[in-house]
Amino acid sequence: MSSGSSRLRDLCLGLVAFAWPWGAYEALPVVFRPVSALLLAILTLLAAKEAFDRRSLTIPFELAWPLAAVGALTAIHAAFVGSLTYFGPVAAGVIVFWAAYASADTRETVQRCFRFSVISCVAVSALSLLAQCRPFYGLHLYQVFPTAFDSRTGAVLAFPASLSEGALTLALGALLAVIDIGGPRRSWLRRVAALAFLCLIIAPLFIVISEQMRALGSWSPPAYWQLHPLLIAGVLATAWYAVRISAKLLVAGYDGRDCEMLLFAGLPLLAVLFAAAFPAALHCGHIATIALAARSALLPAAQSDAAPLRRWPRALACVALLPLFVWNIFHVDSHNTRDPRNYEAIARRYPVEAHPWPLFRALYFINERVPSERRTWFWSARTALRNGRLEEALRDFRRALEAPGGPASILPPPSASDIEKFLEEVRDLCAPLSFSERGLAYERALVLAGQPENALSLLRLRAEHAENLPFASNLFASALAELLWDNRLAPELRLWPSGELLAVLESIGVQVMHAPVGFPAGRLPAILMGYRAGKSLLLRVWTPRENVGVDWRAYASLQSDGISHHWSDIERAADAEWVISLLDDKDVPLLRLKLGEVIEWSLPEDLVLEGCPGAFRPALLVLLP
Amino acid sequence: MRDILDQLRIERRIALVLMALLLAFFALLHAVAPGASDEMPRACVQQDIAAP
Repeated sequence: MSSGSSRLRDLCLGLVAFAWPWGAYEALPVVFRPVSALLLAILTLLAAKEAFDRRSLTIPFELAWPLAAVGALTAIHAAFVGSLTYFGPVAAGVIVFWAAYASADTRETVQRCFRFSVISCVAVSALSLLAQCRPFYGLHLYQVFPTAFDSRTGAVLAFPASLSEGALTLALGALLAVIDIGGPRRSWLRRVAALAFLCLIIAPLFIVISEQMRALGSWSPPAYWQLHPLLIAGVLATAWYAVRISAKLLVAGYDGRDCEMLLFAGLPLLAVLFAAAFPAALHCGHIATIALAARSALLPAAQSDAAPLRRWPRALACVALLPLFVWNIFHVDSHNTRDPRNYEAIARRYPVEAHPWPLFRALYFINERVPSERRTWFWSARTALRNGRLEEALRDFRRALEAPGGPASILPPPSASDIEKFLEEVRDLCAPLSFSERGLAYERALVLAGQPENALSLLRLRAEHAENLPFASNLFASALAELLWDNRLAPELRLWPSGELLAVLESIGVQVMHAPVGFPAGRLPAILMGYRAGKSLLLRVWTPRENVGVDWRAYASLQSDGISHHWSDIERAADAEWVISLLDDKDVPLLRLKLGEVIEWSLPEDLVLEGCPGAFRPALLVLLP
Repeated sequence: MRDILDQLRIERRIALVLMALLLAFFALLHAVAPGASDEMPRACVQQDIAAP
């Protein structure tokens, strides 16, 4: 064995052990692949060359055949089904296992690798603890955005692609720290340091587990029996492999009176228990760690520490990786579709046929933690649009353009081309709909995108043959500007004939009725508008005498999109007092308006508003003489 | 040689016991797990967003 090649393998193995716990933060720029994957590829080549030179795979038969069986079963499955979905990751796992197993020559190497992994686990644990913090008085500098979260429970971790993967990493790190505490020939200082590391690693793990207990009702272990029979056999072979390694380590530890080896047996068991409880929790780093533990069963116990001179290259190489991790902690590349923080890539991949609520919830969760993030609203709008929820799409598009923005954003705000694309999508969705079905959706989008002249030209087309009316345009212009979400358009709309404005309002399904006999003529024409938006119940009343605007804060709103409210018939309550109610789609009164000497409004005492956020179409009533 | 064969036999026996325990654990998980529900968790229903 050449010592140069051995040193290089030793260095690569140490770097892999140091890099893999960093998860999302170990992505290389431009190629966006983890640095540990690159190092594992180099390690595989070196191990293959070594195996060729030695004419030996280094791995004993009892540990080689299950590995070969798992690979062969998934390969046959891939050939049967014609898909590499399972074969790709399994083949990578098999190669990683063998490369890591064959590359560790001494127990010192294994111990050193585990020490590096513990240090990295401590670092990512500290980051995960920081990620628990929420924005504090607008200070975002210290904030670490989580890479994995559950928006239902608020559990977060800052390094893995999923909470289960992160929990396994921390659990393995905690076990490695325990091994460091209990291992032979350790100074008391090192044992104390390992104990401190253990506490730090366990802290975020404990927080995540306690928070996830709230979602226990929706947890279900993976149903492996639903897989193809060949894959079921592969899963069983993998489980056998894990317990076989544990058994080997237990026997070797018992025979050699080696307590460290006995603790190593816990590593594969822990991994396999996680895989039984959570899907897709295994990572290449976990496999490499188990391979190193398995290898140590056939290596003699460490005699002495490595020569001091040989430590520096590894330590320096590990330090050289730190700038990459720091860069990735504070920077998300929008082109890196593998980064779990790149919610745009996740939203793009999200299946159209799936219920959009989990994606909405994830986007809202991000926005709650990073209020300056505008692209989340944009993707929320696009998702709503993809599901035919026009009102919600427009509401979120408005938020995307009007949110404050700021330096703490994860991804850049929507660009001009993004906005153009969104307008095209709204137009395509509106095209087959009637005017009353689409309302003012496309025109609103144009106004929001800064193209009000295009919106007004389109609106004018709706009123081509409108008759003129003997009223001033002011009230109708104000109402239409309010509906277009831009009151600055009112002066321009006032130049339109009132008949055209009423025709536009009628095209979107506005209720038009003549006032009953005796209704005060000084209040005609009157326009009443009421709707719910998020937590608000909004009311607007325009009459020649007054212009009333009320935002009443309700607690919640309904879940559905585009629910229309409507106004009841107007009724006489007293001599000079008229009453009208705003009703929801089930004719439940939401608001009661009293038109007397002064305009008064009230809410029914038994009014209960429940449900998830939704978007609602305003109910507009035009009362003519 | 005999020692190695004995050791392998012991390892296999321990592995069989561990495998049985693992399968029992898996079965137990499925027996006690409440299972994924299509119903929206209450936490999301209560989450609401302020109107712009």
